Parts: sequence; C-alpha cells; structure tokens
Amino acid sequence: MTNYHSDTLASQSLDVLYREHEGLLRSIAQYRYRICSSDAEALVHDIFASFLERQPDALDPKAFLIGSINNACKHYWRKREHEVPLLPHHELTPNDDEAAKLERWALRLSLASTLTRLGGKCSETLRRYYLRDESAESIAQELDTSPAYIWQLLSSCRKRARQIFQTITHSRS
Amino acid sequence: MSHYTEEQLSEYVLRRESTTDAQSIEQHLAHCAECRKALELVATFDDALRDPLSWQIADSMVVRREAPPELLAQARAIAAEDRYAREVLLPIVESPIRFSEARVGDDPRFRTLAVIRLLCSIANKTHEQQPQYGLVLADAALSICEKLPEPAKSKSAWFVGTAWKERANALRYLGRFRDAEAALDDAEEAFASDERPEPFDLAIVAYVRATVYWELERFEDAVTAARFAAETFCVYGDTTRYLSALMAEGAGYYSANRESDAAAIFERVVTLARSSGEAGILARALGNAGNCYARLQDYDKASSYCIEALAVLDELDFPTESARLSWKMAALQVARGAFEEGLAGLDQGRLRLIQLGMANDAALATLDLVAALLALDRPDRVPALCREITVTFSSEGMMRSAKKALAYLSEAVASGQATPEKVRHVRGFLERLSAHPQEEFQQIQ
Repeated sequence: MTNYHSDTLASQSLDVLYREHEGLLRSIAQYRYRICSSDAEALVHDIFASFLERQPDALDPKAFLIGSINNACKHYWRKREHEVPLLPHHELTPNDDEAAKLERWALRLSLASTLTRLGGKCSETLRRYYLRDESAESIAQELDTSPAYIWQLLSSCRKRARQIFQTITHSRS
Repeated sequence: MSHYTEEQLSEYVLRRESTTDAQSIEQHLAHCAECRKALELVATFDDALRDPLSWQIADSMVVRREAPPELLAQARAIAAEDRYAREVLLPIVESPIRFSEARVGDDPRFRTLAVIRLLCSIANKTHEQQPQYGLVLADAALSICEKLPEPAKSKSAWFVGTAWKERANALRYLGRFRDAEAALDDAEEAFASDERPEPFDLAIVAYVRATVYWELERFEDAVTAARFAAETFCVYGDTTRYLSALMAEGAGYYSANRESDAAAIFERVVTLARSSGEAGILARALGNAGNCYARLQDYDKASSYCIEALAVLDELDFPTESARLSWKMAALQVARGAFEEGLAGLDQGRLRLIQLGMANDAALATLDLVAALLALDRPDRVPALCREITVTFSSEGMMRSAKKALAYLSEAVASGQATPEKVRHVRGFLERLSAHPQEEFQQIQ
C-alpha cells in the first residue's frame, strides 16, 4: 500500500482507488450477493475505510479489495441468516465445484469490464441484438440504416469486444 | 490442413444462413478439433453476451463515483497520524539502544494506532537481520496496544493481531517455535475478535503457523495450515503469497515422506510461477520437485528438474542456492550409477561450498564423496578428505556432539573399518543436528 507523504496525496490516492474500483465492488455486492443498493454502498464504504486504516500489505489492491468485499458480503448474510440463508455459491472455500463457480463469476466480471470499455454505439448495438433479442433488421429500421450495415457493425463490435476481453483475462491470469 | 480464422468462424456463428461456404466449414469442423475448439470459444463468448447479469454489472460499473467526503477526511486524518508516528518513531528506531531508552511502552505520546502499525511494519522488515530486535519492536507494539486510550482501544483488534503476528515472526526467526505457536494463537484470537475478521489476515497467521509446525516436525499440521493459507491467498488474488503457501504445503508433504503428493504440489507451483514470472519461487519449486523424484528414484525426471532449476538460479545470480543444487545433482548422478561424473561433481561441489564459506554444507558434500569412494572401493583419498572436514554450530553442546561424530569417523577410517553405512550414519547425524540440538551421537557397528 502507498506510504502517504502528505495529507493531500492521501486523499488523492484514495480518490483514484475509489473511482477505479467502487463500481466493481458495489456490483459484486449487489449482483453476486443480492444485497440491496444502500447496504451494498455501506459495505463498500466500510471496505475502503478498513483498507485506509489497516494499509494491508496487498500486492494487488484491486484483487485484495475484491477478496475483501466477498468476505464482507458473506459476513453480511451470516449476520442475517434468519432472514435469508447464505447461498452455496457465496461460500468461497474452493473445492473443485466452487472453483468453477468462482471462475464463472470472474469471467462475468471480465465481460462486464469489457462492455464498459466498448464505445457507446457498439455497446448499444450488442445490447439490442444479444440482450434484448432484437433482429438486425429491426435495429436497422429504427436507426434508419440498412441491415447489412448492422451486420457489419455487429461483426466488428464482437471482434473488438473479444479483443478487449482477451486483454483483460490475459492480464488477470 | 489449413484452419479457419477466428473471424471466419465468428461470422459463421453470427450468420450461418448467410455464410457462403457454411457447408465446407461444417465438413472441416467434423475433422478438425482445433477449429471446433475455436468455434466453441466464439459461441461461448456470444452466449455470455446474452447474460443479463453481465450487462447489469457493466451498467453499474460505468458510473464512476468520487470518494465521499467522509472517506477523504478519514484518509487525510490517517495520513496525519502516520506522519506523526514517523516523526516520533523514526529518530529512535534505528538504534536498539535509543529505542530501549525511549521506553515507548510507558510514554503516552506513542499510544496511537498509527504508531502500532509503523512499529509492526518496521519489526517485519527487521526479523531477518536482527530477530531479537524485531521481538523488542513487536513487544513494544503489544505494550502500546494494552494502554491505548478510547476510542482507539475499541477498534484495535486488528492492530493487536498484527502485533502478536510480528512477535510470532520474530520468535520463529529466533528458533523459539513453541513460543511462536503461542503468539500465533493470540494473533488468531485477536483477528477473530475483530468486528469483521478478514480471512487474509488469518491466512498470513496460518502461513507462519505452517512454517512453525514444519520446524516442530508436525508435518500434517503444517500441510493443513499451509493449504488454508494457499486457498485464501488465491481468493485474494495474491499470487506470490499463494505460491509461497503452496511451497509450504509441498514441504510438509515431502517431510512427511509423501513424495508423490509433494511432487504434484511443486509441479503445480512450477506451472504457476512460470506464468506469473516468479523466478525465485520457480527455481525453488523446480529444485524441490527434483528432490521428490530423486527420493522416488525417478532419476531422469529428478535430473531434468534440477538442471532447469540450476539454469534459473544462475540467471538470478543466487550462488549459494546454485552451489547447493549442483552438489545435490552430483549426489543424484552417483545414486543413478554415473559414478565418474558424480564423483567429479561432488568434488567440485564441495570446493565451491568451501569457497562460499558454507562449512556445514561442504562437510555434508565431503561425506557424500567419502561414502561414494568407499562404495566404489577407492579408499585412497578418504583419510585426507576426512581430515579436511570442519563444521560450525551455534552452541557448545552441538559442537561437542558434532566433534564426537567426526572423531568416530576418523577412528573408523584410521583402523580401516570405515564403511559407506558408517559415513552415511555420521552424515545423517550432522544434517539433523541443527534441528535436534539435544540428540546424542550413537555409534553403529
């Protein structure tokens, strides 16, 4: 962890770290652990507060923060066991099955990161075609263009997405 | 056979009906496993694009928020506390005498969480060179923990755990393993009493515990602790610590005579260390895998791992580890029946160890050479080699025991009664002596 040389630098370093990772950590709490938005925000806040105070000897702060939010979310549900039981995939003790689940979750996060790095046009086209199941023809009609152009766009956007995804997963491994 | 490109396969997945050579692609896929695999990857990626959760996560990630003012204020406050801790500690901490005179445990100026954190951090870096002083620093941190005023006291569990952990580390370096174990129990208890214990901290304790158990020859316990540490470090994405914990797990298996289990772990570390560029760990894992296969008498595999380890060690310029491994490789050659090469290697190895000032290792290498010469019925050099052997041990008692063992060997050589078994008996005793200082040398007939 950074050894802060001045109070200003300390708050700047925190701000960079926060902007970079807050969204990811909140997503994990909200979507993986199904924690409501306000509680997820509070957990992320606690994670950063604890990181600041303890200054753990973490070689990869992002990976450490992810491990930390996973732990915080499990702890959150353990305290509320009478409300909602902790689902098996929340437990991170890696047997083979859990390792596969962890891997799937990691890939989902990598794909989400990929989608945030695509341009708006690419992201929107892929969203309409894959997520909303719209046909190339209907997308073309709405955008007042030809289906051939949409096919071309889909093709190049998928290629770009695969490239970004490969870069992310390669740096992760 | 030429293959289809990822782009061609991607087009086929996207619009099969409009792909002009769809039939040829399908015919090709029927025979080509490589292209089928590439097609599967493209199709899997497209399927993932249909996963609503990935899109939801992406939408929430795209919103970049600024750190809230209260966190920024906390960051500034902690930085100010850190600055204060450096101001009061750094002038005294470089000198153990000055530090002792400052009596930080009794001085209220030092009673802050930042001072405890800084003391623990300095202690952590001190253990290797000055473990006794590392212990003093850790104990000073513990003493401050006890006297912290509120509200710092109520949120000090993690700091107390860290101070106990550093005490355990210092004791481990000092060879006081049972005291280290007790300190680790206290560290674990303190971390567990935190409002939300972080498994990462418990994993560090478990890792240190594994090394302590290994020293105490509780190998199965060492394996269990190391495995927990490795699994947790993996979850926290800490590759270096993950690999170190795996190495500790492998060492536990090896020492428990479970060479096949150990070899599997070391080979896993080799693969992971290679892909993550951890050259130091790679070299040690290769060497350890070589040792496992040597014990399993698979000498080809053992040699191959050792040769690779040696190349990495030389690249890293680690002369002492390289010298040790060269000696092990020479012993391996003798074991597999390549006597001339092995004898020459042992001779070179022991000279290199002497040059590097590694007296005890040089003594063991010389005894390996003596045992091999006697086994081959070439006793001419044996008396001279035995006279050259010198060892150094930290205590009088150990020196006395070592001298007794060497005297027994000299007598056996002088009377022509020396055998490879007797030499190996003396060698085994000398090798164990550091870990078993109380052991008495027993003669064999």
